[in-house]
Amino acid sequence: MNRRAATLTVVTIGVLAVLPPLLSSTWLLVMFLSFLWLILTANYDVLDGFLGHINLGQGAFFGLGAYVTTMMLNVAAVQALGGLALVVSALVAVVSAALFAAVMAVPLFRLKGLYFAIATLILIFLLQVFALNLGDLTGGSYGLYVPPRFFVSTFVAYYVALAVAIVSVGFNFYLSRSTLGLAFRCLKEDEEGADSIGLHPLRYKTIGLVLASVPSAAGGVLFALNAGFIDPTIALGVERSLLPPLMALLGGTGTVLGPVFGTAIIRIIETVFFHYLRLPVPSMLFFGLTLMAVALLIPAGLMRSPRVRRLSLFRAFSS
Amino acid sequence: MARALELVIGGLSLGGIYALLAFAMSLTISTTRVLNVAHGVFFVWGGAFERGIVRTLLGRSHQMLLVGSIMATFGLGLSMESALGYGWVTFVDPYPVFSSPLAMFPIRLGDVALSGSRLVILAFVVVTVMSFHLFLQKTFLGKGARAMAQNFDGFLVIGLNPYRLSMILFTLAIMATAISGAFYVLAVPLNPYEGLPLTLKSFTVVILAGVGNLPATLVAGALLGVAEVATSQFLGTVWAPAVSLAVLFLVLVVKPTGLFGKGVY
Amino acid sequence: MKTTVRVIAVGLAVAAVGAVVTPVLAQPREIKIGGTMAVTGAFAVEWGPTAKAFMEEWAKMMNERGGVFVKEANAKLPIKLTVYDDGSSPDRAVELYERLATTDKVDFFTGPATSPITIRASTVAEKYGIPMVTAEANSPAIFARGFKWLVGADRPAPQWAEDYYAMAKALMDAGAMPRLKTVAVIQENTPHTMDVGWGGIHRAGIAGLTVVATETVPPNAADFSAIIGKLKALNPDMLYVATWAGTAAAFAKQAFELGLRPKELHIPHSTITDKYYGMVGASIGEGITGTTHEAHFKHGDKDAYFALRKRVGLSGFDAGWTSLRFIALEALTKAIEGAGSLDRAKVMAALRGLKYETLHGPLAFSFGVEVAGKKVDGVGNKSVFPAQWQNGKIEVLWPPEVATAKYRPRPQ
Repeated sequence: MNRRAATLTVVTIGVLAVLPPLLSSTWLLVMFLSFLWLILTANYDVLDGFLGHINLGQGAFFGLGAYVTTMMLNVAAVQALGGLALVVSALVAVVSAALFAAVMAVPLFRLKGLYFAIATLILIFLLQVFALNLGDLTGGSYGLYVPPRFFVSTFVAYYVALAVAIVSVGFNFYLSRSTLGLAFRCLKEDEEGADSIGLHPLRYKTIGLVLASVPSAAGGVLFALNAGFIDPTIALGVERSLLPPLMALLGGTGTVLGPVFGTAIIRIIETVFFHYLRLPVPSMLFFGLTLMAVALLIPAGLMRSPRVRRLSLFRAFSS
Repeated sequence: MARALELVIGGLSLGGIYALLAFAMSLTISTTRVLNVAHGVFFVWGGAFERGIVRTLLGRSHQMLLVGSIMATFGLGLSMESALGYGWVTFVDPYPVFSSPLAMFPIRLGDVALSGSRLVILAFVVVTVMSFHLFLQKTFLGKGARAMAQNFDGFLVIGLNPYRLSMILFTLAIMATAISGAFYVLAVPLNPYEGLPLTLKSFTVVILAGVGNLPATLVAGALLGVAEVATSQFLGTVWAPAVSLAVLFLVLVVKPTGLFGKGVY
Repeated sequence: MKTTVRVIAVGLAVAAVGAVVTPVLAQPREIKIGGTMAVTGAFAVEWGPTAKAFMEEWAKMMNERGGVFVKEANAKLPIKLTVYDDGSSPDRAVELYERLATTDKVDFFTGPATSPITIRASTVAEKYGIPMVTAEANSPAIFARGFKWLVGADRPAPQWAEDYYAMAKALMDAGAMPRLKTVAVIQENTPHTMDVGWGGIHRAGIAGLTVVATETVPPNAADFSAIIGKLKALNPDMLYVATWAGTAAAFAKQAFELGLRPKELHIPHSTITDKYYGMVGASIGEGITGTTHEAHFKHGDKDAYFALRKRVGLSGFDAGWTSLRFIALEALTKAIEGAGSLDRAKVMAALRGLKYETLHGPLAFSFGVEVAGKKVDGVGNKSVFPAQWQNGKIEVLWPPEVATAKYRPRPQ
């Protein structure tokens, strides 16, 4: 990538890194949550932009991460590990999500397009039902608490989330430059053709899904540790599956910066509507209208629009 | 024995409710390829907003259309349910729950008890689905719709106007959905915010039946209804939602074109 | 070109509107109270814009009276109430409470609607040491965390059954209610309704009833065919239906059509709103008992309370949570008066020890008591009143002081 793009990236990261002491706790929280959204969106784009599958179940990995961590931290044997308990439960959570992805990949990737989308949407609802009904394990509708000594402050969570977000976006960058990413895009363009030259579709798609599940699960872990309390609607809410595709779409799927801009813009709109605009009519109404307008007016996403690409600044990033 | 019969009939009549949700969606997805996540919300509101959305999305590529439609209608759904909730509470009544006590009567066939309101719904849905089916088979517009579903490019080639037709179809579908909503509340109350779960139920039936096959939605709905009631009976009612989800997943994986699909999608 | 222009246009429009609505100039010293409310989203069915309006009218009314007397300032200070829409999302509620604490710098918090949101929001109160008085959040789990800055006006949901069963026992002993032996409990799988169900199951002994079946249904369940089949076989004398009103309407209709007709049908949430009767019709609605927060209160600031309801356009038994909200807000102001200061620690101490006469009688918060197997702190005692649908109206049955009618056995 060219020098300018590299410098810009470093500067942005640097700014984000020094921001926390200057931010009020509200904004710290808003930024932390925004990083989580960015992780989800960037991961989603691995499936959509690179592999051509619309994964409406990205939130399932997030929810699994949140639930497994919290469940583990409520087990006495784990609690006894002290500080190590966090690491252990986070690892188990992320591995569970990856395993789930690997297993679900087999039935899911028999499908394409609309069917794949619906099947993935089902996943998150199914997980919700299980979380609700298996009360002894998951706390049921009452939810689960993280024991207070394992709480992660928003300050720390911010940095960890930032790191994971950098990894996610960085991974997408790697994909845009590497043979793995090329393999993905071959599969997206022409699956039969790719298969005929030896790119086994199921293998590569599974790799993609598993890799996309890991950072999202980590995001879920962070979320649970910071929130201190999760329940089926908080951890497995359907917005976590439906908003990332929108953010990716807005920014431009298949581009590295697409998810970044998409997430940023939607989060800004959301924050403005709910924190600032004290309109007599509900904010949700306008938020919904904005989502709709965005989806209709910007079909290809920002990073794909010719105007934006002409700025040499972005040329290195858009693929 | 009477109880088992009651359960089966209960399941079948529940299926009528589900077909109610689904048949209009089957029609719209197959012809316009627009995936309407706000289907359930329309069930409650029933407006005819699609002109702007469908027209804008119609010319796009397959992938774009799918994503675009999901997102646009999700946003639409959010705003519509807020508008309805807010508007109703401000102008009509502080408690926005819609439920109708009309047409509710017990029916007894010997030892077997049946729900009158559900049978009314079943009757309505059968009549409506069959009417739509006849519309698709016999009328010019209907044949055009089937043509659009079978081969979109071919449709354009013979010079028909997809915009006009999809507008008509969507308007019809929305009206049918809205009226269905009115019948639905005979049996089950609705509130402005339960659109999304209803949409998912609707998907289940549509996919199970096979996208584009309207009469099949009746059968699919019935099957699903019986499955849910059976699950409630033997596993407990809490697992009933899991059944439809699991059924849908299985069908998708094993036979995505649905039980009676004509491979239209 | 077009797309970027459009995006920029949208962005500018949004920014412009935002700029126009920026906060007002600084005011002289006032009491800043803040909170969020489910104005939109899933919980807006029960709360919604009316809840926000009610709280804002309350603040207006208090200010019309001149405000709250604060000894330290030696003056009556006006109340500045800020209520955000949390959209029924706990995440957003937390963000907004953080904002209220750090940017708006409120002195005190009011609780949001429902237990799940309150569980999250109260962590913000605890973090900053801001007293929070919750209204409609009565899950024991909320109060079982050892939080120091939280109290709730509502009586924990598991205890609702106690009032009803106590009434049932008294009526059965006096021969006003047929002697019932068995009860089946149906509960909807959300925290509040499960709590209410808990009471239904574990307190049945108060009235000498045996629980013959417990059925849990998923949230917003619509089909009860299997359950009704099972219950018809068991034929319990009483059905205790711990679900939300909408779900209860679906159940009652199906029970009616499929021929399940217990001697006593108790649906706690059926009398919480005037709308239930209209949802099910007279043939089902007549004789259903439930519980209500609302009554023709005889104590406390009742005139102001009813005037407030009128101002927001509420009548009859609409919006049953208003008395809870009113009491929660009132308790806060009484604590401020008692503390004589706006110092948070002092007000919290005053809240903890607060005892005063409110709409339903004496209010006090309990600490270290056990509810449904959990040790809780800061729960209130605003109880619910058993009520019944008679001739299309909600009549309060118990206690005798606020009763408007006598219990009538259900037409069989």
